[in-house]
Amino acid sequence: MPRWFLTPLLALSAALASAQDGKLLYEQNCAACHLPDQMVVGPSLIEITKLYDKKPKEFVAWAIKPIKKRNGVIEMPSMAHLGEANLLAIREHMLAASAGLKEKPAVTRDLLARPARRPEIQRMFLPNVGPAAIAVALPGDLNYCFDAGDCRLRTVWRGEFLDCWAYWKSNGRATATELGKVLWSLPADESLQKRVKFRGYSVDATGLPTFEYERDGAQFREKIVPEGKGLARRFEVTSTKPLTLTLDAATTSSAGTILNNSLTLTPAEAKSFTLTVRLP
Amino acid sequence: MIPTLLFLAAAAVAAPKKPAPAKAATEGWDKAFAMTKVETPAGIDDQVGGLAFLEDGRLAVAFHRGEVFIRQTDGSWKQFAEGLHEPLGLLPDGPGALLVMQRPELTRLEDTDGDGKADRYRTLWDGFGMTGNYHEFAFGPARGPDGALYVSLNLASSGAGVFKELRGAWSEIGKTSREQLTAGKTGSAGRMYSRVPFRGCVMRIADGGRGAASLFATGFRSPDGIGFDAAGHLLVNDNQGDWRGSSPLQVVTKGSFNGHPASLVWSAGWEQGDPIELPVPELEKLRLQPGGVFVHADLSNSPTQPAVFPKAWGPLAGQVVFGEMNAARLVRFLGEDIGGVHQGAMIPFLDTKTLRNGNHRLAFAPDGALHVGKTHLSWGGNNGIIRIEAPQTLPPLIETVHLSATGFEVRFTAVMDKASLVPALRSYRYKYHSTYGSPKVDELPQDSAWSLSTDGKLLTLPLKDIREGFVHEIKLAGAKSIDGRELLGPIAYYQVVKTK
Repeated sequence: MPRWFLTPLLALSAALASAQDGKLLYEQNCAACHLPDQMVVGPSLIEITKLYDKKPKEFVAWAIKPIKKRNGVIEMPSMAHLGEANLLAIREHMLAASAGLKEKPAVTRDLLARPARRPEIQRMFLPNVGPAAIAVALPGDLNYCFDAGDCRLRTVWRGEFLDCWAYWKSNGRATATELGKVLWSLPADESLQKRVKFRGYSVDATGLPTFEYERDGAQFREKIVPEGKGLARRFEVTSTKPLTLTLDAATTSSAGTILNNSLTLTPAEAKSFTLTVRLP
Repeated sequence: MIPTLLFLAAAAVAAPKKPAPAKAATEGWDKAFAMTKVETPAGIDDQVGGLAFLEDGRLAVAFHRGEVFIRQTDGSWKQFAEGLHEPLGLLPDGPGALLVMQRPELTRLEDTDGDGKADRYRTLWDGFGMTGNYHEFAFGPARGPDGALYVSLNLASSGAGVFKELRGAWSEIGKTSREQLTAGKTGSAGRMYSRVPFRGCVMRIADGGRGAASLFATGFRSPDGIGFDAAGHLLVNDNQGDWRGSSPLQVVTKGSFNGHPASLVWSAGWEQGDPIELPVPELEKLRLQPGGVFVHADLSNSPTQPAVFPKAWGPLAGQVVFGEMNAARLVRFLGEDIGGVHQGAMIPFLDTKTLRNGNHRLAFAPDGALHVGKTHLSWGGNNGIIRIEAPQTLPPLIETVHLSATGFEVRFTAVMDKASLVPALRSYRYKYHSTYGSPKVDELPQDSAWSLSTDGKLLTLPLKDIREGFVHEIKLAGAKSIDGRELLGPIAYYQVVKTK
C-alpha cells in the first residue's frame, strides 16, 4: 500500500480519536502528574473535570499554553505538540475516568511518624541554616543542627525533634519544622565555607555523632552532649598554631585565654577542651 | 475517491499526531518471566533511592527517608545506616563499606567494628553547590574502569526558588538575581537553572572517591541514570524537558557538552555570558549527540539507572537495561560502535502491567535475578522492590540490531515465522530548543525490500535513506516465532549518529 494512502487514514483515526486513544494518550503524557482521584504534582482528574466539564476549547487552550496559577504547584509544561484532536481525546478520557470517583482527601499526616529515637541523626532541609544541615536529637529534650556547609553548630532547640512530613511526602520541596523552642542560634556566614572542609562523622555505641572537619588547616573533632540544662561541646583539635574561636555570650570554655569574645588556645590546650553552652 | 475524502478530513483537523497504537497483549511477558515482590522492611517508606548487591551476595537498599538496610541470607532486614538526605545511589566498596550519593555529598558508610552497622559516615566529596532547591538531586556513584567514581548533579527547577543561605559560590550569570530567587521569583531563571557549582554536570572523583574531584562533562538537566556498560562506556541519561525533546542517552566523553546549556558556565574559562542566550545553532555545534533516544510517550518518559545483563541471561549478557519511571516497562539498549561513535537501539522490555511503573534502581543478584527498586517522590511512580528471575530460556525477543552500510539487521532469539513479519519503518527526530519537549519532526516513512535469513533468525532491512541524527523506528507488530509465540518487545528505536 502506498504511503500517501496510509498517512491520511491514520490522521483521520486520530481526529476521531476513540476513548481508548484518549486513555493511552493520558497514560503516556499526563499520568505522571495527574491521578484520577488525588492531587499529586497537578490536580486530579476529578478537579480537571470540574474545571473543564463543558469547556473543551478552554481545556485545549490551557494544555497548549499553561500558566502557573496555583500557589506551591509547579507550572505544567505545554502539551502543544499533541495537537488539538489528541488533547480533546485526552479530555474525553479524563471526564470518563473521573466519573463517579470521589476526591481522596490529601494525606495530611505522616502515617509513619514516631517519636525521635534519642540519640538520632537526620540530614534534612532545616530553617535558617544552609542546605547541608544535620539534625541531631540528644538524650533528654534538646536537639541541635550542625551545618556541614560551614562546619558549625547552628541551632539548638528544646522539645520534640522534627516534623519532616512536608519533605517526606514530596520530592524535597519543603523544609522540616523544628518542634519546640529554639534557644540558641548563629546567623549565616557564607564566608566561612572557604575556610572549612567537612570530613563526616563517626557514631558511638549509643548513637551520638562526633563531627570531623578541618578549619584553617586545623583538624577538629567535636562531640556535643547534654550537660545540665545546656550543652557541652567537647573538642579535640590538632593544630600547629594557636587556635582562635569567637564565643557567644552563652558559651564558656574549659581552657584557653579569653579576650573580649575571642578565645585563644595553645596547640596543647586545643588537644582537648570543652565549650559549655548555657541554655534557658 | 475514498482516499481523497479521507485526506480532506484529515487536513481539516490540522494533522494531529497519530496516537501510538494500543499496547499488544502482555501475557507473553508474564508467561516468559517470573516476577515476585521482595518484602521490604516493616514500618518504613519503601521508596528506593539506591539498590546494590554486596560482594557477599546480600542486597543493600537505600530508602527515601535516609535508611540503608541489608537483606540477610535468611531474608530478614538489618539496618546498616540511617539519617541520610535523599540517598539516590548505592555502591559496595569492599567488606563493611558502602558508597552512597545523597543530596549534600558522596559518603562512604563504614562498619569499622564489624557489628553490621555503619559507625562512620565519611564524607568523600561535598565540593558542589546546593541552593536548597528541591530539584537539585545528586546521583551515582558509578565506578569507572579507571577506578574513579562518577556522579551526576541535577539543575535547580524554576518550580521553586533558592534558600537564603547557600552552599557554594553563587554564579551571577543569569537574568534572575539571587534576591529574586531567594524570594521565590523564578520568572526568567530558565526553566532549569545552574547558579552554584557543577549543577548539571557529571563529576569525576579520582582514586575510588579518595582523590581529587574534577568536572568531567557538562550539559545535563536531570541525569538520574548513570553507569558504565560492559565495554566501559559512561552512559548517562536525561529527562525530557527544556532542551530535551525526548529523553536522551548520552555516551559521555571527557569534556563533552551534552545539550542542556545551563551548566556550561562551569566549563573551564567560560566567557560567553548566559549560555541559555547563545544561538541554538552554536549550541548545536558544541553538543555531543545522543547515542540513543528514549522515545517519549511511546517508550519512556523518564529513564533511570542502567544495569548490565549478567551471564545468566544468555544472549542478552553484556547488554544494558534501563529503568523507566512513568510506564510499566524497562528499556533495553543495544549499543554498537559505528564510525567511532557508540550508538544504538532502544527496545521495550518487561512491558507488562505486572511490573508497574516507578522503576528506579536496577541490580542483578549473584544468581542473575534482576531486582527493580521503585520510587515516586510525589510524581507518578510506585514503591517496593520487584524480583525478576533470569529465565531458563528466552522468549522470542529482538536479540540485536545492527546498522550496516545498507540498512538494518535485526537478529532474533527465536526462529521467526516469515508470514508474520510486516516491518513498518519510519525515521524522525526531535527539535533541539529551550521549549519543554518536542514533537517528532521531519518524519519519513520508509519502505524496505526486506528478507529473512534461511535460518529464520536474521531480518535484513535495506534502506534507501539512513539519516544521521534521526531515530529509525523498526516496528514488527504481530511478529511471531515459527512455533507461534509472540515476539516480545516488537519495536526498536535506533538512533543513527553516524551511518558509517
